[in-house]
Amino acid sequence: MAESSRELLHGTLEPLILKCVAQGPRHGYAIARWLEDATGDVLHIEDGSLYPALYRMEERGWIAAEWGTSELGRKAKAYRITAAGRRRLTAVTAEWARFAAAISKVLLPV
Amino acid sequence: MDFRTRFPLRLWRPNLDDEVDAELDFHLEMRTRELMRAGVPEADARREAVARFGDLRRARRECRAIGQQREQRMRSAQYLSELWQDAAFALRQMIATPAFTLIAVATLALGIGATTAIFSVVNAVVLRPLPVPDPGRLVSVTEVWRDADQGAVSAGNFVDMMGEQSAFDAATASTTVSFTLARDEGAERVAGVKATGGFFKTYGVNAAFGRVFGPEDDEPGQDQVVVLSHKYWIRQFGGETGVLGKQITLDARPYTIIGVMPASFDFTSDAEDLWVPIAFTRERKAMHDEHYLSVAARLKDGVTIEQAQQQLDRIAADLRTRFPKDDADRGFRVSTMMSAFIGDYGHRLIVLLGAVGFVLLIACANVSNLLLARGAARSRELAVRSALGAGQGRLVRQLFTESVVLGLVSALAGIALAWVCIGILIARAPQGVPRLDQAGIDGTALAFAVVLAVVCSIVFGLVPAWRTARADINSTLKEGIRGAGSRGAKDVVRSILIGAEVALALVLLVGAGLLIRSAIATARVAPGFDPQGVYSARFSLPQAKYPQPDVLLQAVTAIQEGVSNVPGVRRAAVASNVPGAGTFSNGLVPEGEAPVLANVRQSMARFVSPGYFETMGIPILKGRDFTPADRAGSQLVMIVNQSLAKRLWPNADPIGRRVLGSAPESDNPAKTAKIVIGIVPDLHFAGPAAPTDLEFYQPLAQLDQTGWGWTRRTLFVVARTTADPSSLGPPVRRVISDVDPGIPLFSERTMEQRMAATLDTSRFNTMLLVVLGIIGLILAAVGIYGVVSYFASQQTSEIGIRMALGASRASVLKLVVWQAAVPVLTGVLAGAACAAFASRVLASQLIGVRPTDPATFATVAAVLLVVALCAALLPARRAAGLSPTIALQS
Repeated sequence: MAESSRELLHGTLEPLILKCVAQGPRHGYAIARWLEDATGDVLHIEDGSLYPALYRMEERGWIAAEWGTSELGRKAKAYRITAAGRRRLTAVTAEWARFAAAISKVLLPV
Repeated sequence: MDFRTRFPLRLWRPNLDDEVDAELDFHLEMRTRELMRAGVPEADARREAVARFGDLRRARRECRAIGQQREQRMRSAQYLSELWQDAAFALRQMIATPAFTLIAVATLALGIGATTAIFSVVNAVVLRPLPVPDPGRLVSVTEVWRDADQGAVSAGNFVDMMGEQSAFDAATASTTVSFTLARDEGAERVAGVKATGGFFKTYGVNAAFGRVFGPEDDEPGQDQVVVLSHKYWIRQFGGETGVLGKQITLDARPYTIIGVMPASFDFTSDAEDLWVPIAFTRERKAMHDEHYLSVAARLKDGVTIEQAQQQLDRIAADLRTRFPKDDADRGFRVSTMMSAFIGDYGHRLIVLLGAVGFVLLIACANVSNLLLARGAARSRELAVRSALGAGQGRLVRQLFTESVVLGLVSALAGIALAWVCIGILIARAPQGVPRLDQAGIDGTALAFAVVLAVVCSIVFGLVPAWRTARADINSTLKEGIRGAGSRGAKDVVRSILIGAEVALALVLLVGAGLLIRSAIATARVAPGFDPQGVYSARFSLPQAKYPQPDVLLQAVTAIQEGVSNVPGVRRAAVASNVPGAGTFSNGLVPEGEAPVLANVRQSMARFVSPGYFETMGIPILKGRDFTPADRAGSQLVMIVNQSLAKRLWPNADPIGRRVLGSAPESDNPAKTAKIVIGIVPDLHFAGPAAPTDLEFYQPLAQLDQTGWGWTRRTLFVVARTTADPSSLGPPVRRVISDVDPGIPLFSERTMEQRMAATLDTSRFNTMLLVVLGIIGLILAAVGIYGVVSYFASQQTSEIGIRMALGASRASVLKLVVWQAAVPVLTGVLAGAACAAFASRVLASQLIGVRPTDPATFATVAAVLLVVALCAALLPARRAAGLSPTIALQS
C-alpha cells in the first residue's frame, strides 16, 4: 500500500464512517466491510484502528451506540448517526469537495 | 448487503471492559466466518482475522480509555442534572408550603444571622492580623513587678535592655501624648505618639510619601520632625501633597512635616494622628524608676517568643543587681502584639461567639424537628418514589439537597439580618473596642455564612433524611400517612432534640443571669464619692509656656477661681486625676521603717487643689482638707484613704504621722517627709466594678518638678453645680480662654458619665447575652410546643378512647404534658451540669457573684421549667378539649 493513502486516511476515516452509518445502523464489522467494498480497499484500513475511531466519534456525539442482536443471534453493538453526526457529515463533505476541486485544478491534467 | 441488519433496541448495556471485549470478539468472529464461507479452513481463517485486525491489545486499550472518559463525563452530567432537579423540586416545595418555609427560614436566618454578625466582629477585632509585614513577629514587651504585669517600661530599662538584647531586629519605646496644636482658630488637642527611632522599622511600614524618622532624628536637637497619619493628613490638610516641609506647632515647639503614612497604618479609627521622635536626654536614659513607655519589638527570624523571654529574663536579672533600688522585683514579659492590642476584648468576644453558637444549635434542633414532622407527612410521596425505582441513596440525596437549599435560602436572609445586626452592634458598642468599626459583611463573613448554612443543613437534615429514607415502603403504602414510620424510635429522636434545646437554653440563661446579678451587685457599690451634679474636663499646660511649678500653679489657681465664679457653681477644684480616668502610683514608707522595698506600700497618687474633696462629695473622715496655706515651702502634707492608713499604721492614729516617698525623694528623706493631715474613704476609682486601691492625696501647690512631670501637665477641672452639670461646658471654656487661649480644654464629661463609661463594656456584654438567652428561650419553647403538639396529634385516637372510657380532662392533660416532662427535666439537669462548667469563662467578668451561684441556677431552671410547661400546656389543652367522638373519628 502506498504511503500517500495512509496519510490521507487520517482525515478521511471519520467522514467515511459517518457516510456509512448515515445509511442505517451498522455494527463495527459491517462498517469495516462497507469501507473495504465501497472504497475498493484503496485505503486498506486496519480493523484495529476502526474501533478507537468509533469510540471517539461516540464520545463526540456524532454517532450513538446501542446493543442489540445480530443476524447470527449474538449480541452486537450497532452504531447509528446522530443529528450532530449528520451536520458534521454535510460540513466535512462540502469541505472535502472544495479541497478536492482546488487540488485537482492544480494537479490535473498531469 | 448481507451485513446490514436492523437491531432491536435493548436497555441492556454491559460494563465498559466487557463491552469492548464483546465488540472486538464479535468482529473477529464475523471475519472468521466470512473467510470460512469463502472456503478457508477454520484455523487459518481465525489467524487471518486476527492478522487483519492489527494490534488488538492497543485497540482494546484505546477503546477502554475513551469509553471511561465518556462514562465519567456522563456520570457527572447526570449527577448535576439530578442535583438541579432536586434543587428545583426543593424550591417548588418551599413555595408550596409557605408556613413551613417561613418558620424554618426565619428560625435558621435568626441563628445564622446572629452568628455571622458576631463572627464578623470577632474577625475584625480579634482574628484579622495587624496590617503590617509579618505581623506574627511583632511582640509587646512589658515590665512585671512582683509577677504582676505593670505594662509600662522605664526609659532606663528600655535603653539598657536594647543594649544587651539580640532577639529583636528592631524595637521601639513610645508613649501616647496629647499635644496642644497651635492654630489660628485657637488651641486644639491632637493625639500623638512620641517614639524612639526604631518605631517605623519595628512595624516594618514606610511612609506613603516623604520619609519616616529614624535613629538619627531621635536625638535632642534633631527631633523637631513629625510624621502624619493618613487620616490626620486628610482631615487637617485635605490630602494635599504639598505638606512636606511645612511646619506645625506642637506644645509651643515648631515641628517640620517630613512624611505621611499610608492609610493602612491607621490600625483603628481612633488611633494617633501623628508621630514625633521621643529624643531621650542623657538623664532620661539613666532613669529606671519612671515607667511610662510602651515597648514593641520585632523578633528576629527564627527566634521564638520563649527564646526572647529567656533572654530578657537574663537581662532583667542583670538590671536587678545593677539598679537594686529601682529594679528590685522587676522583670520583663514578652507577649504577642495582637494580644496586647486586643486586650480582654478577645476573651469577651469569643464567649459571645460561643453563646451565639448555642442559639444557632437550638435553631438547628428546631428545624430538625420541623423536618421530622414534615418527613412523616411526606412519607407517602417518598414511598411512591421508592417504588418507582429511586434508590435509598437517591432519596437521601434528594432530602439532603432540600436541606441544603433551605439552609442557603436561610443564609441569604441571615446575611441581611447580620448586616442589620452589625450596624446596631457598632452603634451601641462601648467605645474603645479596637477595629470594631471595620466589622462588616465582607468576603470572609459571606463565606462564613454560607459554610455555616451548609454545615447546619447537614446537622439538621441528617436525622430526618435518614429516618425518612429508612421507612418501610410497604407498610407506608399500605397504611397511609397515619402508620408512617416507626413511631417509637422517632419519638426518642424528638425527645433528645428538645432535651438538647432545653440544655443549651439553660446554659445561655445561666450566663445571662450571672451577668445580670453581677450588674445588680455593681450598681449597689457605693463609689465613695457623689458623682451627681459634677462637671469635669481636662486641660493641659504646654511645657514651653509653663515650665516651672510656680507658673503652673498660677494658671491652675486662676482656672480654679474663674470656674468657681461661674454662676451655679458651688465649688470647683483642679486635680491630676479623677475617678473613671487614668492614674499613677508611687511607693510610700512610714517614718521609722527602713526605706527598703519590703516596706514600700505601692499607692495611687492624686494631686489636688484645696476644695477637691468638697467638690467631689468625698467626706473627710478625720483631720482636715488642704488649704491655700499648704503651699510650696511650708510643711509638706498628705491626705490618705482608709486602706492606706490601715496599711501604714495598723494600730495607731495616722493624723500627724510622717510618711516618706520612695525614690527619688528618699535620697533626702527628712526634707521630703509628709505629714498626714486627714483621712478620706476608699474610692472605687476605676469604676464600681473595679477594686479599691491604696490612695494618697497631695496638694498641687507642693508639687516639685518631678511631680508635675508625672501629671504630664494635663489636669482635670471639676465643678459641683446646682444646675445641669453638662451645661457648664461653654462658661468653663470661656474661663480657660480668658486665662490663656493657648490652653486646650477637652474630654468634657459629667462625673456620672465617667463612672457609667467604666461599665460600658460589661453592660453591653450583659445586654447581648440577655438578648441571646431570651432568643434561645423562645426557640426552645417553640420547639417544645411543636413536639408536644405532634405527640398529641399522634395520640388523638388514644385520647378519644380514654375519654370515652371516662378519663378526666386533667388526666388527659397530665398524659400529654408528661411526655415532654422527661426530656425537659433531663435537659435542665444536663444543662445545669454544662453551665457549671461553661460559666467559668465568665468568671473574670463577674463582680460579687460566683460562676456557680446556686440562686442564679435555681432561678433560671425555674424560669425554663415554667416556660416549658406553658409551651406543653397549650397543645395539651387542645387535645384534652376534643370531644371523644371527634377524637375517635380522626
